Order: sequence, then structure tokens, then C-alpha cells
Amino acid sequence: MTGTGKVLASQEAADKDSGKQDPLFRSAADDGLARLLQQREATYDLLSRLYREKVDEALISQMKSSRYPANTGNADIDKGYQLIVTYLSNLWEDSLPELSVDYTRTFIGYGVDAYSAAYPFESVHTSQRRLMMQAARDEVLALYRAAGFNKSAGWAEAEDHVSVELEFMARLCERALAAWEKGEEAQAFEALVVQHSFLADHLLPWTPMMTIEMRRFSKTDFYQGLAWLTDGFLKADLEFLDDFLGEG
Amino acid sequence: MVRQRIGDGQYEVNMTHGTTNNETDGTAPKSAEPRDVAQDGTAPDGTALRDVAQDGTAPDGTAKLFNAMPSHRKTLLAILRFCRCPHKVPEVLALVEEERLKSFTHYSAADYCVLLEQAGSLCKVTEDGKDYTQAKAEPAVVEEDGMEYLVANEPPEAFWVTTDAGAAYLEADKPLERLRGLVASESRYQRIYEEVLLLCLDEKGRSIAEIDAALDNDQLLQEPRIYARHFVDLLEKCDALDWVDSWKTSSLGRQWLEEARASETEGGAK
Repeated sequence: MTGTGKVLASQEAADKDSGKQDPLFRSAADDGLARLLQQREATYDLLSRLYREKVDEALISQMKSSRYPANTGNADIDKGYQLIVTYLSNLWEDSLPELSVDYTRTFIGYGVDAYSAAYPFESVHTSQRRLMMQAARDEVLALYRAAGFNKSAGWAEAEDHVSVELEFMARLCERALAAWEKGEEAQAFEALVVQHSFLADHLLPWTPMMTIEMRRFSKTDFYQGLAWLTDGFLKADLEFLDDFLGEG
Repeated sequence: MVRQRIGDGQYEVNMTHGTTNNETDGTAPKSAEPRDVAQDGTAPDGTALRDVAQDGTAPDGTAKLFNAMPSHRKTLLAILRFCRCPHKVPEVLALVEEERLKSFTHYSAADYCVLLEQAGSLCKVTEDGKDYTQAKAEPAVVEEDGMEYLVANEPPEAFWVTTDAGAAYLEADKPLERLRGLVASESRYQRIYEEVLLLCLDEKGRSIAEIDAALDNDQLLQEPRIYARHFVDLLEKCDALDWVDSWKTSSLGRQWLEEARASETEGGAK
């Protein structure tokens, strides 16, 4: 599965197709690491899309016809997928409005204080007064720019929205995969190092607090499952990067 | 919203039917005081849609929903009537879509069903009548290349059926009695009610402007000053008039007209 409507625009030329004809380059299908990078990219893209905006008809149809890993060995990931796919197995005419309401209830809320929803912004969870556009936002924006990314014109929210942070991880997976397929191992390794520090320093310190609140506010199995999946996947991905980069 | 006539022809708009604002001037007509419909079979002025729960005939959830959505009454009743026998969800939604087109509502067909379900008037069941919430479909597990995957299953077929609470509310709803009660409480204006219904017997129905033009200058409506659309509003709430691109007398309205004429004829013969 891949997301659509990317928020981050790469300043590099889109040269993914260059070199695919060269017989010296490794085929992704034959290469375990390449397959793993593809799967990681797909999962980050899916998570980013689910947090970015409400589910629409096209996405729900695509999700319903997809398959999801079972018995991954990570209890949170398994629980997350189980809840999401159970919801997808029980769709009816009111499901999209129900998900729309639950998205609003979970991430936007209707209260007057800073505790009325699972606000999906890093600044809210890492600033003393739970405000937006704090130091965390400035830091991640600097990291995006250092990696050659900038915010797309159509994105009106803060750059430390969880959807943007997850998309950053997806684009780095894409970059690592492209470099790996071209035999540029150093560039692939560099992208994974950036991912590791971003995950450890920015995503993981605050997303568990957001997911706790998601489980408190959301009422559908869909968004409950998203909370569990996010927890499990991010922790598992950090373990993978620790192992992989540790060996490097 | 209900208009109450007060003494000098001024109007006081009450937010909830069944209540009066007597403290404002003490001159509200006695007919505006809330009465128990079940006790005397009549309805107070403008309170044709009295909450039947208050006389113990229907549980609170259903009555509360109907009280909160008076302009959606016909649609909600149509659903409860249709679902006396279980019907597949798409069939119920198709019925509701027809009703929606008449009432310019933003509520979807599924919205109405969910609201009724939350009020306890409707429930979703499986084909063999079991509670649908207990029949949740679980994902299927498929294996490919030695790996297991979850795949979304198809849900069991769902049917909507009216609950006992919903059926009780249906039984308690007697629109002809409400209409009789309405006219009885405003017997002075019985002729006006008859004229509105007669006007709207036309196949093409009547617009509100046509009804206004026909009746607004009637002597009876000058003091206190009342406009014809007041009667249209109350007749609609009693299901005597339907809006289908224009105001048309319903079968209930025709039935009452026949009763009224028969009664006048008997009175005349005597």
C-alpha cells in the first residue's frame, strides 16, 4: 500500500527510474533488504495517510482489498491489524460517516482546553503548556530541510504533525531503497542513519502519549487499531534499525 | 416551535410544545395549557405532537428522539412501520431515500436508522434474528509463501427490525385522533381547517402563496390576526397535509374531511 498526496516535496530530481535497465543492479524481488525497505515505506505511507485526513471511499476500498501481516511476533502490531481488519470486515453504509466522526472526535475534539483530543502534533506533547508551533516544530523543519525536503504548498498544518513526520520516514525509506538498488550503499546507509535518529529523537518520545489519548477518545476499532499499530510498528522499526546499523 | 395566541393577538413563540408562557401576561387561552392526550383524547392548541411517553405508553428513548426531531416525524414513523417485519438494510435505506427527497433533509438514510437504533426503537439483526452486534465478522487468515496474512471478510447480511419500544410508539401514535384534538381545541377555526384541506385536494396541490391568497382576508382571521400558514403548519404536523412539491391533502386529511362533512350534514338534518 502506498499513500497519496505527499506533503514533503523532494528537491532532488525524480530519478527512481534511472538505472533500472542496468543488469548489474540488484533486483528488489531477489533482495531481502530491498523488500524490507519497500514494506517499511509502504507501512509508513499508510500510517501517514491515516493520520493526515479522514478516510475516504477510495482508501477504504483499497484497504478492504489489501492483506495485512498476521502473527508478526509484535503483539501491538498484531492487535492493531486485527482491530483494523475486523472493522474492514464489517463495513456498511454508515461506516465512512462513522469514521469521519471518529477522526474528528479523536484528533480535533470539541473541548476548550489542551486535553480534549489526541492532538497529533509533537509540540503539543513536548511543550510545557501543550502549545503548537514550539521548539519541536522548528527542529523537525530544520531536519526536513537538511535532508532536502520542504513542505508542500497545499499543506496548511504545522510541520511537526505526525503525518508529516511519518511521511518523512517513508521518503527516507524510498531514498534508501533507490540508493540500494543503484548500488550506492553509503547513501542508503546514510538515509537509514537519519531515520534512526529521527525515530529515536522525534517520533518515539511523543507518539506513545498521543496513542494513549487515541485509545481514550476514539470509539471505532479502526482508530483504536491505528493507535496499537503505530506503537508496535515504531518500536519494532527502531529495533530493526538498532540491529541493522549496529551490524554496519 | 409553536405559536401561542395571547390575548391581544401578539404571538409568543415557545421553544417546546406542551408548555405555555402564562407568566408573561396571564392571558394565554386555557386551550394552551398542556393536557394529557390519553385522558381526554384531545390535544392542546399547537401541541398535536405531544410526547406519548408522558402518559406511559412508550419508553423514553423513542419519545425523546421524536420530540427532538419533530420535522422528521414522518420519516421516522415510516421506518418503524416498514421494519415491523425485518427488512434488509439496503431495502430500508431505499425506503428512507424516498422519504428524504420530500423533506430536503441533510440526514442520510443511514443516519435515521442509527438514530432510531440509539433510541432503542430499531435494532439490527442477522438473518436468523440474532443480535447483529454479536455476529461481527472476523478477518480471514490466508497463507502465501509461508507467511500468514489477514484479509477482510464479508459481513453477515443485516436486517433492521422495529423493537418492542418502537412498536409501542407506533401503536400510541394516532394521527387522526391528534387531528381531531387539534380542531376540537380550536373549534372556532374548524371552517378554516376544512378550507385549507379542501383547497389542497387539488391534484396539483397548492403553494403557500395560493393558500395565503385564498384565506388571509377571511374575516375570521383578522382579529386576532392569524395567517393561513399557521393552519398549514399545524395540519402538516398532524399528517393531514403532505408536502410533495406543493401542499396536498393526505389520505388522513381526506378521512377527517369526510367525517367533518358527515357531522355537519347530521347536524344540519337535525
